[in-house]
Amino acid sequence: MKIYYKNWRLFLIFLFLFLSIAAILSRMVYVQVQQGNFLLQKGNNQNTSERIIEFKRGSIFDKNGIPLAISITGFDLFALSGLSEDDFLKIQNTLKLKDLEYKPFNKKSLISASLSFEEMRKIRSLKINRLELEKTYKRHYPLGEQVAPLVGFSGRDGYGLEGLEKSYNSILIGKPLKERVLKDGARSAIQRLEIIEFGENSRDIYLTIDSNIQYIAYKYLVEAIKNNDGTAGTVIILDNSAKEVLALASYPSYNPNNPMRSIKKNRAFLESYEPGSIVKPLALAGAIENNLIAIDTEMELPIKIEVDGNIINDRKKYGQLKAFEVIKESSQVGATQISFLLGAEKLIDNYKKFGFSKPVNINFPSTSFGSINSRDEISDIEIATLGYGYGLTATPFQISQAYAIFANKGTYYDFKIIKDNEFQIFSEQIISEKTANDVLFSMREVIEDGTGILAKLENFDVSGKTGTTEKLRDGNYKSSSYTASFIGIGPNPSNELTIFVNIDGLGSQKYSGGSVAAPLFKKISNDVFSYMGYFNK
Amino acid sequence: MQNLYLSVIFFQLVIITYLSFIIVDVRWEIRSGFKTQEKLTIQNEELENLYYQLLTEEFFLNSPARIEKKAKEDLGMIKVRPKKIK
Repeated sequence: MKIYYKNWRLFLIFLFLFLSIAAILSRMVYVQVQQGNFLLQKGNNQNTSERIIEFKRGSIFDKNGIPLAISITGFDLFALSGLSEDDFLKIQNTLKLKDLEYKPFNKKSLISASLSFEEMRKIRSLKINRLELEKTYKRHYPLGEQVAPLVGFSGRDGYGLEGLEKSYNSILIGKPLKERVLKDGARSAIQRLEIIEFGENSRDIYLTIDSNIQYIAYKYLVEAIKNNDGTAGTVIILDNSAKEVLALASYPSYNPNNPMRSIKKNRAFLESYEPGSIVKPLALAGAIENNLIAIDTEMELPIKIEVDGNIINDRKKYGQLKAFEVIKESSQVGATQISFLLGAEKLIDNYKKFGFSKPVNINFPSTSFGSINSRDEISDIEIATLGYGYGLTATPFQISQAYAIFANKGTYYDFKIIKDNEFQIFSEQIISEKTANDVLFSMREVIEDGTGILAKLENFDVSGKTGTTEKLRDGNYKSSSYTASFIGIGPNPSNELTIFVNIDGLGSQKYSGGSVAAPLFKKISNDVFSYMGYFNK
Repeated sequence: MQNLYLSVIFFQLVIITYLSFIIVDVRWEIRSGFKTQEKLTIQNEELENLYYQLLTEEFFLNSPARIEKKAKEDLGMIKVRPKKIK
């Protein structure tokens, strides 16, 4: 007892130490076991974060690598809550932001948008903590309105909203990468810890469009529309040998670089209209192919004929015309007789074979199929009008592809607009090579001494056909509003290009395909043939 | 025997110390590599911007629209059709 009494102080010290160690150990166990996951999570939240890396949207180039749509990298500068006035003044001086005044920042607020790389570096060198720089991409369209209805545009969020930007969005945008990163005290990423979701890099696309040809097409189209008081128009240029679209101009257009743009449709794919006389060679091809007529068959043509109480008449009395001269003179009576030779069923089937009322194989957000009057009980007047281009509608692109059949020796091809080696070109022999040549011959006559004489080129031989249509409005044909069309194939004999032009909304002064569209074709084809290096005849 | 044990322990301590330094070094390498990658990504985008700018400028300078304008307005040139050589 004596010993115990003597060492009670020592005992107390040991007891205190024991209790202290026990308390620390129990706290350690509590922190590790009970709160371990929670604290680990909290620590990770402070040091690590998930980030999404968006890939820069792919670019769109023409066939020669000229940019049609590109994304420019910029930076948006944000102030975080608590940014001091001194720091703000430093930023203001660095970026020379005179209009901006300091106000206490209570939340993340945009100070300046679309900073350049140089400005971004200057801001970073200030080493201000309560700032955030966010990378942004701004879409730029160097060719502006020339290709806007085709290329379209994308929104600020980087998604394609119109045109090819929309239809090829998944290729252009890629798939963002999601990763977890370790951050330092300044909240900058210093190490990648894991990839949460693998991304897919965005890809560029190359079109078959040639910017220089597109410029020629658009320039002359706008000029012709303005000179003839038209309201709209389309030009399509196809490369018959490569089965590619070289130019596709549509007016009215818009500036895709302007955020306040008002969207205009791509008329080549969407404006299906009654093509008028431009379909006459297609009907003739059908009649020749069915051995109902030959290219030089004599036809007796009265100046007018009556069908179901309706009068169909020509400009003058031709008397006797050979079949090819019906095309050359664009005779309505002759076209009516060819329609009757074919009959409703064969005539409609023939148009369908040429691709009318069928979808085109172009990946575009929306395309019109057009339509053909194919009722079971079709009247004689309806058969007659189908022969000269009424009672059916087709888009300029469908008409162009249909005419390319004559240049391609009777074979129908789906034309492509994207340079893609995996693209399978659909082809089908529609008419014989001889029929195609016969029709080309008749179209050559149109240019030499027919309705399309104003399309005649001094240095090149071409084949073509005019078309003039009264516009249907509210169930009636308005003689004050016309669409003039012209389609040509040239230069003969290689026939490598098909060029379609049309001008819409023409008044009653000058409106025919021969007087409005043919001269436009002449200007475009002359420049395009020279640009492409074809030799003069 | 005791000396052998001491030697093994000492050797292990040396290796552990060395590996600790290596870990620190590798981590530093990873982080500096990551920073370099981040810098290069930004540099790449900056160069890409410049490339597109130059490409667009080249197209603009070579564009038929500009050449036509210069020819007509600055040089007073007029468009002539080539004559057929007889």
